[in-house]
Amino acid sequence: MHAADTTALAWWFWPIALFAACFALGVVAVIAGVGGGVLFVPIVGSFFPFHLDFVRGAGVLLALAGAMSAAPHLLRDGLASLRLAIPVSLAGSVFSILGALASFAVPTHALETSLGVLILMITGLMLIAPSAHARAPGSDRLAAALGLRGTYVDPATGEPTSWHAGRVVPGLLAFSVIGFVGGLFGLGAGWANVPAFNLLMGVPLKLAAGTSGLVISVVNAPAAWVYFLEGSMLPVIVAPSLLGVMLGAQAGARLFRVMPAAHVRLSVIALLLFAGTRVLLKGLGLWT
Amino acid sequence: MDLNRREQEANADYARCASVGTRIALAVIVAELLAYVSGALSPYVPLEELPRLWHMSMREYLAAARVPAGWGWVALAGRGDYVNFIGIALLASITLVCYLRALQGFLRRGERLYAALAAAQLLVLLAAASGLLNWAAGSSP
Repeated sequence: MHAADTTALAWWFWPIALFAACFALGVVAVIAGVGGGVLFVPIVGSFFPFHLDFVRGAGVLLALAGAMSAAPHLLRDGLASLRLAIPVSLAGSVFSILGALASFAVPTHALETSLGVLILMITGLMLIAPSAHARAPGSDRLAAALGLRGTYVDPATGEPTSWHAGRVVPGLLAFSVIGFVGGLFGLGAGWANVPAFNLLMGVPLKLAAGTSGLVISVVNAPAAWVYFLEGSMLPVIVAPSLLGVMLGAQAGARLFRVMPAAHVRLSVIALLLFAGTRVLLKGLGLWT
Repeated sequence: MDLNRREQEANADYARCASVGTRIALAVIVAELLAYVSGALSPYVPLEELPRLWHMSMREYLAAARVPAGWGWVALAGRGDYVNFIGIALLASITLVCYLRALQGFLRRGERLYAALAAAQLLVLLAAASGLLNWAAGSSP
């Protein structure tokens, strides 16, 4: 929408619309195991009149808020592992700061174009569904030293499942790249965290999705500070977005216990496909 | 103490901290938002001006609205818009507080490797929150 069109509406119209959109995103994000930011940035960046700088600033913070809201429920239910999250979050945090700092040197249309490409790639990645029965790699020495194993009970089935993680070094490298990309675009990174845990490190899908939320709550914190202190957080955008996503995420975390993620997955894929195409065309100047 | 028991204890500690911190931050953000949009605290940038400004890039906005970056917002924290930054700062600090608690727990249980990782994460968070990284990158003042 052109800037001139948006100034014709009362100032309060867009914050209210933003709150409603973010509540829905918060619910969907937790159930699908993605950060709210990955949906928020392309959708709000495309269909709301705010500059991408402020959308990315709000995106990184609301991915953090959504993950913080869900993390206590997931930890208490045994569906997230702090022990598994700590090493990969440290690698991701350092690179999320670098990504956030780098983002301010990139022109907006280049960021929009690359964001569009990334969102379409994420959509493709989500079509390759992670396996609920991921083949556990052999436990390496680092995984053994870190004690990356345990048992959790899936509330949907009531069955205890033993797990152990492996391939820790490739995992740390993957989470470094994911952290950089998340910081660059102001995204949460559940879209990449879950496959990295599940397909690379051999963590069962439910635990991978739960721990992914915990990782986002750690990795996005330093990136949020960088965006905040840079000046790219506008209260009239941030506050309604945060409230919407936090309330939505709490509702989503309760549904997460009993709702198979696959049911939500297809609608998220369709939404991302549309938003990714929109932001790509916007970056290329073909749909402004 | 076996691994599962230690993990459960660490998870429960962290969950308590994150839950309390998030609730407090949410309550503060709601109160601040109400003070902002109700006009109880007058904003530094008038609400009616925002539709003219929010489509600008961050740098254009900072110049046009004459607002500070970095920790300069603290001087404006009594205004309706900038009071919201207290809640944002609170939210961004929860992970830091939870990691401090986690560090204590790891030290108490003698888990030195995890204590070192938690300490390193705290350093990363403190570096980001200080604003020194923005300053070193040549962005915010």
